[in-house]
Amino acid sequence: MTDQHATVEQLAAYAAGDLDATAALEVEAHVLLCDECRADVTALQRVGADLGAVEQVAMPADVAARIDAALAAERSGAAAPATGPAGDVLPMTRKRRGPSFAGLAAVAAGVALVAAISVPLVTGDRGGRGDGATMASEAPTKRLASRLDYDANSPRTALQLALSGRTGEPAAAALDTDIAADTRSRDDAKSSAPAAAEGAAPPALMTTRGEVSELQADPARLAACVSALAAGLDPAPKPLLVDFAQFEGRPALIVVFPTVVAGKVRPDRVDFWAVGPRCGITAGDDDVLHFARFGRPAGL
Amino acid sequence: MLEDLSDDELIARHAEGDQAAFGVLVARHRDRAWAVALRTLGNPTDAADAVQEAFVKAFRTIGSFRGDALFTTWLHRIVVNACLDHLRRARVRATSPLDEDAATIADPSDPIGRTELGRDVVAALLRVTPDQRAAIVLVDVEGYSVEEAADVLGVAVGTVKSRCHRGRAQLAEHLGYLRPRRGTSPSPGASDQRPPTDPLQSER
Repeated sequence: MTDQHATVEQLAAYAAGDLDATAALEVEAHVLLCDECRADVTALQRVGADLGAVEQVAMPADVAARIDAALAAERSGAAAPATGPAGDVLPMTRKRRGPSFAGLAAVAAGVALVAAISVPLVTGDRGGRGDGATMASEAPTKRLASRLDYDANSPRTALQLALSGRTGEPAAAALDTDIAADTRSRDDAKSSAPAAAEGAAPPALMTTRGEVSELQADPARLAACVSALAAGLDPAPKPLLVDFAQFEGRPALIVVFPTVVAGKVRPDRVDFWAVGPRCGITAGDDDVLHFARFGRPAGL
Repeated sequence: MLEDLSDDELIARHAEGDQAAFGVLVARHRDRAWAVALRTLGNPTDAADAVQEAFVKAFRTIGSFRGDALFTTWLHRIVVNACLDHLRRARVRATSPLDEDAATIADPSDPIGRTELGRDVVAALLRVTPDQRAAIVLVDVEGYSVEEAADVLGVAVGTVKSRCHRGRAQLAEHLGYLRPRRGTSPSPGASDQRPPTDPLQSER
């Protein structure tokens, strides 16, 4: 030890006083004679001091508000089963039963949230917000039903394939109808969805069974899901694309947002979400199957 | 006043159905949860996701909290696990050659450490392995004892120590405090890998 340098890790252990007596003596015997290792011990002590001096942070108000909202939704969801026959208020029980009555209550909460904050998916114009969000938020959201099976290893490749338009073959007839309807009436959907959120919510809620097709058929559910994914971001991004597809063999909704970092939209990057059918039903449980961030593909 | 009650008293109130009790617990502990998540994940977007996930999970599972650990330990275990889960997902992405520049998830240019030194240290932190980072954030940044950090992380005390030692050694290198010399220290290119095995440093 005395004629051979100690490893930096040994010196770190020594500097922290974490070596046992024998090992500490060995390292010390070397350090006393070796200027280099002594300098490294000083360097390691400096690292410790630096770490202790890292700025203490308080949770930003928007994050705190977002968590309070998620917990409030959780609370209203958890309270609902107490009135049910079992009288069992264990939240896990509620989850196992799936989005039934409690789910409906939470959708109501989700819709309220959508109305209160914004409806990124269906609001084309963010009301004169003049910051860096402009470009990314003005383009309409692409709607695809590629049926493609995305996976965690190459989401960007799958996304490019979906964008190429070479997918979406033989879908069910009902799905084709939906796509056609969506294409024709995107403007209608934009104007009618906020109305659904404010006044005509009950018909939308009736469809809540927790299937991806509902997200497709129900603009309010889709908006609630998108809002949940974008929650807490300022500016709240509008999705670049939604794709009714699959993720690793499960039915999934793919939502792609422009990346927002520190209040700025990054035009060159996107956030990719694959979510399951429960997205938008229960606030705070977005049913996220996968998240990825990568370079923005061409054509998006 | 609920604010005057201890964590354990608030948990008891919550169990009795007091709707406000959990909110007081959240308000009391959220800044530290945020700090841990932000330093572990390196960007506010992921930190917000992880902390929200963690608090919702805590709300759902607080019935299983038995009081044989401190509430803060139990809560931070959930927070740290949510963070490591996020990092695990990010790692899956990073292995995909097509997702170029996946490292921006931990974008060092994010204004998370406002002082010059703070920025450097915070950026360097993002270059050590997640396990080492979690240990260092708890012990060196947040001032937990090694024993508390071991409880939070669910590993042995010796493991926490060894992760801290390795992590600090890496940080010293990333921060340029060490002279670039010895064959015993990892090269910068391999800096996120484990250093060469050394019997003294094996995790106990």
